[in-house]
Amino acid sequence: MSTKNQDMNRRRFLKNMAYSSIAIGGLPHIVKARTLGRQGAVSPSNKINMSCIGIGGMGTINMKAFLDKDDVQMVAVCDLDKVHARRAQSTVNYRYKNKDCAVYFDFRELLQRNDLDAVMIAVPDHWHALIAVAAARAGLDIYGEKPLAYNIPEGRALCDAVQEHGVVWQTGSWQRSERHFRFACELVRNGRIGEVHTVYVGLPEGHAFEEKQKRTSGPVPEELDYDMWVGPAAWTPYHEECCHFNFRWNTNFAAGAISDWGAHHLDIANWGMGTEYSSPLDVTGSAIYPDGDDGLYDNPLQYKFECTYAEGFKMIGANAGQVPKGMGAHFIGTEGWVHVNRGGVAAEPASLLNSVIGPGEINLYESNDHYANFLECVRSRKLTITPAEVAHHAILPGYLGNIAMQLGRKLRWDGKKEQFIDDDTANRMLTRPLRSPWRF
Amino acid sequence: MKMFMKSFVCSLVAAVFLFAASPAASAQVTPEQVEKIKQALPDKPVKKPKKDRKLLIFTLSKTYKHDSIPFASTAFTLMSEKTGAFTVELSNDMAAFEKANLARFDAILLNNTTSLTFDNPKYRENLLEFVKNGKGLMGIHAASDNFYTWPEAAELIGGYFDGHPWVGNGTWQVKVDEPGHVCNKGFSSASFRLSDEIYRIKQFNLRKNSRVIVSLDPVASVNMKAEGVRSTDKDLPISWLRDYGKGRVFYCSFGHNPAIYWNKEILAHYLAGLQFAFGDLEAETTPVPFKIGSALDFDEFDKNLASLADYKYGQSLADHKDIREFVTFASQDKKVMDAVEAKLISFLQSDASVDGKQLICHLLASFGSKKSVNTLSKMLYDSSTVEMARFALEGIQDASAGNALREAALKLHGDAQVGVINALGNRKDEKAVSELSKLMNSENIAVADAAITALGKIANDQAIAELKNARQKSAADRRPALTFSLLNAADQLLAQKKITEAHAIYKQLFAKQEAHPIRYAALRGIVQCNVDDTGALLIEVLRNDTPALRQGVAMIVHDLPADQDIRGIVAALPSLSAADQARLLGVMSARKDAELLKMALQLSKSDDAAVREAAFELIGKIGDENTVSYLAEVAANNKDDATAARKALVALSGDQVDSKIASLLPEAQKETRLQLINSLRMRRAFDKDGKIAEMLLQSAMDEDASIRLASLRALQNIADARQVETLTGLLLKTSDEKERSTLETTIVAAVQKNGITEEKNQSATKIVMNAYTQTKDSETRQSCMMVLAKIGHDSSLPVLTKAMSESDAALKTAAIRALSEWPNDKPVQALEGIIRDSDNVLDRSLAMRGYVRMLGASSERPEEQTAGLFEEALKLARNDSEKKMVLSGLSNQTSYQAFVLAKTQLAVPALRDEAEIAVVQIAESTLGAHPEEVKAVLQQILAESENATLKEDAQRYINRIEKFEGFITLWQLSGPYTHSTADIFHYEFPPEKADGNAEWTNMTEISDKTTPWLVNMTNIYGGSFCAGYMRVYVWSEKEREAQLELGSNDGIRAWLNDKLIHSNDASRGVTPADDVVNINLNKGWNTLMLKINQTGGSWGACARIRSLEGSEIKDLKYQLEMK
Repeated sequence: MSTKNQDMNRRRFLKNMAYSSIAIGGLPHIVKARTLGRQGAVSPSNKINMSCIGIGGMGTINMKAFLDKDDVQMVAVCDLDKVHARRAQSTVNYRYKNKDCAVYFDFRELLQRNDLDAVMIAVPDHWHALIAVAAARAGLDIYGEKPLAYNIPEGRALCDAVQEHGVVWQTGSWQRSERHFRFACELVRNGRIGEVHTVYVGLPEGHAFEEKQKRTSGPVPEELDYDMWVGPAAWTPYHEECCHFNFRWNTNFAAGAISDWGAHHLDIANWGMGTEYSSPLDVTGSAIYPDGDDGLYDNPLQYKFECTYAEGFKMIGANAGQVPKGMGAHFIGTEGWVHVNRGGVAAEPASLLNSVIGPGEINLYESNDHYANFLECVRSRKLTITPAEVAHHAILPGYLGNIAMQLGRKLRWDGKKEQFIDDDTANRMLTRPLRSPWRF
Repeated sequence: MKMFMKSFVCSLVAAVFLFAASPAASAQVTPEQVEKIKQALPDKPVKKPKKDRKLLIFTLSKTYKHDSIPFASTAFTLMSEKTGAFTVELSNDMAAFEKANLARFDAILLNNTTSLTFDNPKYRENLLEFVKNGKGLMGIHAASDNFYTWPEAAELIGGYFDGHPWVGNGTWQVKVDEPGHVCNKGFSSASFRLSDEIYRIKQFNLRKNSRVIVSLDPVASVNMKAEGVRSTDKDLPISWLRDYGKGRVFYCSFGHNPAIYWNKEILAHYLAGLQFAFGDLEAETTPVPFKIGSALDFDEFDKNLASLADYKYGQSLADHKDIREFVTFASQDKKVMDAVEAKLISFLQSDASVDGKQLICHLLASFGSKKSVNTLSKMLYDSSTVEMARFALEGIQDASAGNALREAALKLHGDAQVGVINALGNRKDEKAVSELSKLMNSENIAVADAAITALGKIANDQAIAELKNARQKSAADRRPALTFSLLNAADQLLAQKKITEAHAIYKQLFAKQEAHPIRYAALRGIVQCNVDDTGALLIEVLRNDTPALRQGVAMIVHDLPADQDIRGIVAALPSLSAADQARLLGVMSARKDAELLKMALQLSKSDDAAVREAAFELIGKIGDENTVSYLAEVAANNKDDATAARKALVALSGDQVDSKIASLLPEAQKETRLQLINSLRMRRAFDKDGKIAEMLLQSAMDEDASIRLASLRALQNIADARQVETLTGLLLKTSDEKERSTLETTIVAAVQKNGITEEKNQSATKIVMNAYTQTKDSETRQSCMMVLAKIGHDSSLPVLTKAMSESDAALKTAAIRALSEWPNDKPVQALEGIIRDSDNVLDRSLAMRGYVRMLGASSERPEEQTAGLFEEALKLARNDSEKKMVLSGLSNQTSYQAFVLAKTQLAVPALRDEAEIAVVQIAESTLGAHPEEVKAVLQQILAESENATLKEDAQRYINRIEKFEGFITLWQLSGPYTHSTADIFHYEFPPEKADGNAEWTNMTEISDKTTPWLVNMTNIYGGSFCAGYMRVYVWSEKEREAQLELGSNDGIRAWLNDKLIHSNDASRGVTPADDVVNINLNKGWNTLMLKINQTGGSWGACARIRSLEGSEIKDLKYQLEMK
């Protein structure tokens, strides 16, 4: 594509954006060549051209980590909060001692570039899948934040797009790249605690609105494109307490502690059980929700959901107070238990901790740097340590639990169709309509 | 058994006696209370008993013991006396469930029993049979807190405890479901308030088996507002009754508070229930399903809806929460839901607020039916409600919703139109194809794109024809949308197994002029259709297509079903580029295919190192026993690939691999043999029939010493108790010292393989003892002693102890050496004897080493006592070297007594080094309890020791003691600063600028009460993506070098006297002294300024200045303003 064409496209694109209030409906149809490939065989000196979409808290941490990698060239950053975007641009330029990093406020414009190889996406949950699908359609390899998507059908769309266009996907479930999590899962996988019948997954409690928190339903900050921020979610007016980091406590944007932390510890539970591509057969649950007086936070406070797997065990996810060993993944077998959390591994018998995983045993995928693992796979085209499908099945029991908790009945799940069996209401609750003009 | 029965009878008699003698005098029931109970009890039975009835009151609580148990026992005993309807006996002994005993009773009352498990299967059967054969079971309150691991009994009684949000000191609204029921005659009102603890029951088919006659009222707000109530708490039975076989069950969850037992109405309820259980009172037991409507308060719902009519975003969502729960619950019953939906529809028709209507529409997206469609469709034509109405319609499956959306698709404009078109696509509305085909040509590009996408989702023949047609004649800017839409359509065709149609589209999209993501998807689709020679196609791509697509082939191959034939690709590998070869080999590991393995073997000889590495890795994953010898050859003889081949040899899987490796041993050349032997060691080969060990034992007798040694080492991982005898035989034969010591380890490992057992230890000890007595060779005997000691079986202890008095000095020494290795402290006295009596320096030293180790090993002796024994040992020690050993043992102690003992040795110049080590090591465990004393000694070490590592540790422990000491708590603050475009960490805000125009405020109080040393910026400023500055003036008595210890969340920069001295753009929590900076303080006043930046979450910092050694600098002073 010549420079001239590119400019024309860009002008047309911007014209379209002006044409309707939010620009072209749905996702941009951007198609371009992969640059790594275009330049011929990948050589070690060939840098990976990266960009970032969403550079708030986690996005900034991810961006800095990629900036520290010698084989990355960060060429562009994008955030619909102009302050976030410009600050990130400045950080990149400072690091490279130049002024080359481009800045965007609309991800669709960023994806128009034809010099990108990869993108880091760290946006609120309700935007995850739409942006990821657009990036996959643009042929970009993606480092995307957890949870995989806002709900199960959107996660499915993301997985399909990633596979359809052959892009490498890494989920930000970085616990997999910590030695002790891998070791704990290897103990379980290799039968050190016998047959596992129960896995507890302890997560934080949900978040109630704190009374001392100020309510500022004031005007939308000038730098924030709030209409775009709401994006595909149902429209609600701006409240600082539901925006940026705090989006997660409102059901319109995320599933609270369940999606925030469940994406980590449910993932480890699946890793240990070898059920990374399996779905539960059924789910029950109960929860206590905030009283609603604050008008903003409505994700569950205390919750517990129980899933039965065909592999013959139960997975019980709950806020930490309702599981025996609190936060983390706790595997209980016929001959002992293993509990792993960010602080470390505990086991009964304790001697398991000195156990050696032999070469003939199940040795799990080894990554000791989550970001480097992504970059390696960008070159080798192999699966990362947390591919999209694995992340999809990690958060799936949490989302099933969420619906079971609301309906208060046992729900049976068809993992192949990704539909509940004989429960129309539950199936309607699986998905959400998207605000116009957004669509997959 | 007889004895047991007897004792049971005794205890029963005793219980009855105690009770009968003086029920009123029961420990917790006062005479006044007994009187109240008597007054409240019914005068006569509800129904005259058919015959004499006897009740067993069972009171065993295995976990929580309810205070109300004696009240219940008293009440039922008095009830029996006052009404004459039955007699009672009490028991809290599981033996009460002996068949013969149960036969004496007509019913059992579980009086607040908890956690009964009925582990004895006979008792389980007896209880179930008791009821089944016609008798009764009654439970009060905690009777449902029992059968968590016995589902049959949980179902018998109805379920089990699942929490009690309705606690005993609250007052709850009770609903008598059936006021006319014979067991409810005693209730004067159908609804009453009561103070008691009510259980939430996890039901076990309760509603299918039992008739619920009293419930907690799910409509009463007092019940629903209790702490811990779940949104699903609606069906809350309190009392129920059922038939079970020929028998009957009555349960009532009242009975936690003692006052229940002088509540007249409840006592009447109990009596009726009990008489039902006896079979004296006929009662209706037909189960009635839970009525959804009965749990719903329509008045409250109306109120909530009325209140929602004024709702504006940001206001309380409490009404909406109630409405949502109400609707969710109502939706379980179609009739109820019809009524509810009607109310929701009138809400939408009313002049309620738009925000309120939006919430209702979102509910209808999940719960609405065709009844709502009419109203919703009208809302499509109002710009303020179109989006919410479309949300609701999108979720309603009825065809009428589709009709409404189709109609709107042609009438609406702009975003509203796009939304409706999107909905038609999501609904895969085949009837919409004609409309959508027209809309594809809309001048509004957004509308046209939406229509194109929707057609691709619908993907029937007509939709696809329209898309194909449009794509042929469309302008370039419509092509991408059409292309993606067709791709989507092809994917759906493929999923429906319409292979030919899907394949045709993929073929079309694979054209060279298409962009890479499309071509990749098309190629993948073609391959999945699997109608062409896909192998040939992929090879063609690999040979001639773009590098990006060539890379992509690896992913496509990886995703292929395992049964799809890829022989073509495998065969073509040699003709591909090295990069493609390596990449493809890397993704084929899931296929155990003979051709592939052959190719991997061939490519493992490639000229390209990356290809060879990938080939060996693949061989390791898919290879079998037939690749063993090749891999071993390469590992032995090919320097470049040795590592890769070795890894592959270790990674090979399959039952036959280990035995194959072993079988190759005799014939292989020396280097290859070594590789094979080592691979067995690394593989920790599983040696089911002992044949592998057999082969290794043979090579352990090889004439080549390195083969012998490698074999013995491999046996350490493989041999088990079966080989102990042969290994011991080898020990008798060998004359090589290294082999002998390796054999010692191997024999012990063989004994301990698969866990240490008394039996194995005993038999191995016997074998080695035999060898020991057989041989005359002194060195062999010494080895035997060592093996015996490491096994540590009691039977060899006398032999080794006796050997300590051997005349042969070498043997004697060996015995002492061996005993000092004993795994427990049994030889401790024997060793002490040597230390007391022997004059032999070596013997004493060996004994001393073992002795101090054993002193330290015992965990049963109190620590102070152990310290005393160490003191004793120091006295027994005759020279410095022995004393040093004592100190080294002492250093593993953790008591303060040990610390003091070590400290006293610091004064002995010859022991100084060891004493220092001991002191510092023990300091770690004692600094918490004795900070001052420990710190003083550690400072002495810092000042005087020459051991640098030790000083580091000492400093660390001093730091720990001083952890919160010396942090600067006096600060001036400036901030928070933020900047919309700059990198905040590096941006120069006013405090960094020379003009000094920044505003500073004094920090007036500690910002974090729990951690006073922390300047908690979250508490001071809150916010995110900003920076704050902290400044303080520091007075130093003299010019000096010092250390600035900093901790920060997140990044930190520091200036001393306006010079930047530190910068760390970190993301972390605050940990004191994460960063330590060497600084030069001027004599007099110095200015210290810190900048903290914040990227998200909490933020803050801490800082202090220490001497270069990390200690406090006494003369430093801090102040806020320069005087």
